[in-house]
Amino acid sequence: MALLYTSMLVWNPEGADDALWARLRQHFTDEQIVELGSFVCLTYGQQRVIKTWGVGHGELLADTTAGLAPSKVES
Amino acid sequence: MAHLPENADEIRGRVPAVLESYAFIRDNVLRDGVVDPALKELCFRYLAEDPETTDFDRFEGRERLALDWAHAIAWDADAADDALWDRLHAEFSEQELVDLGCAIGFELGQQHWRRTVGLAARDEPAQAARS
Repeated sequence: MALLYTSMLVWNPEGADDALWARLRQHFTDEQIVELGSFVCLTYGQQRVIKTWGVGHGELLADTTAGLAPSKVES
Repeated sequence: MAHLPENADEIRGRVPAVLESYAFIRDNVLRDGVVDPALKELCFRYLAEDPETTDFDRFEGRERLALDWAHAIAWDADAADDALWDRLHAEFSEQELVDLGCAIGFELGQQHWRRTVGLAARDEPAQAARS
């Protein structure tokens, strides 16, 4: 459900209809839906900017723990 | 119809850390920073598909450049090619580019979030002034 919600947030916000929200509420509280949605959209917006910078994953601050998945940077 | 009742900040306020984070970004990046807020506002209106902003030929200089970059950020990252970056660097300092680019990204994400919860991409100006 988190991935479906992410897909709606990024690609099809108006597609998040009553049916989708009913399914979300089977798995998450409203507070969790707010927090997850805010996190996804914050990340999405910044990823779009970074994409125009032409910077790939781990190319900046790779020697730090900045970023969301240090294990991915190390691998 | 909104899937969560209340206005955007009241929805964010269900999770205090979410509202606090957004308020910091709003006050320090979206409405302030080193780039003229009016230029950021133009880009935000474009992201929300304000018809008065979609004909780029009406704009020139920094406004046209900012809109070209906003378009690349939102819809076509490949449009941010060397030619666009040469133009951006000719008109903006690196500090301004960080401020403007991050503001566009923050606003883009917020507009997607608002639309997903059933709100308009942006508040009406009178509402925005209150929030």
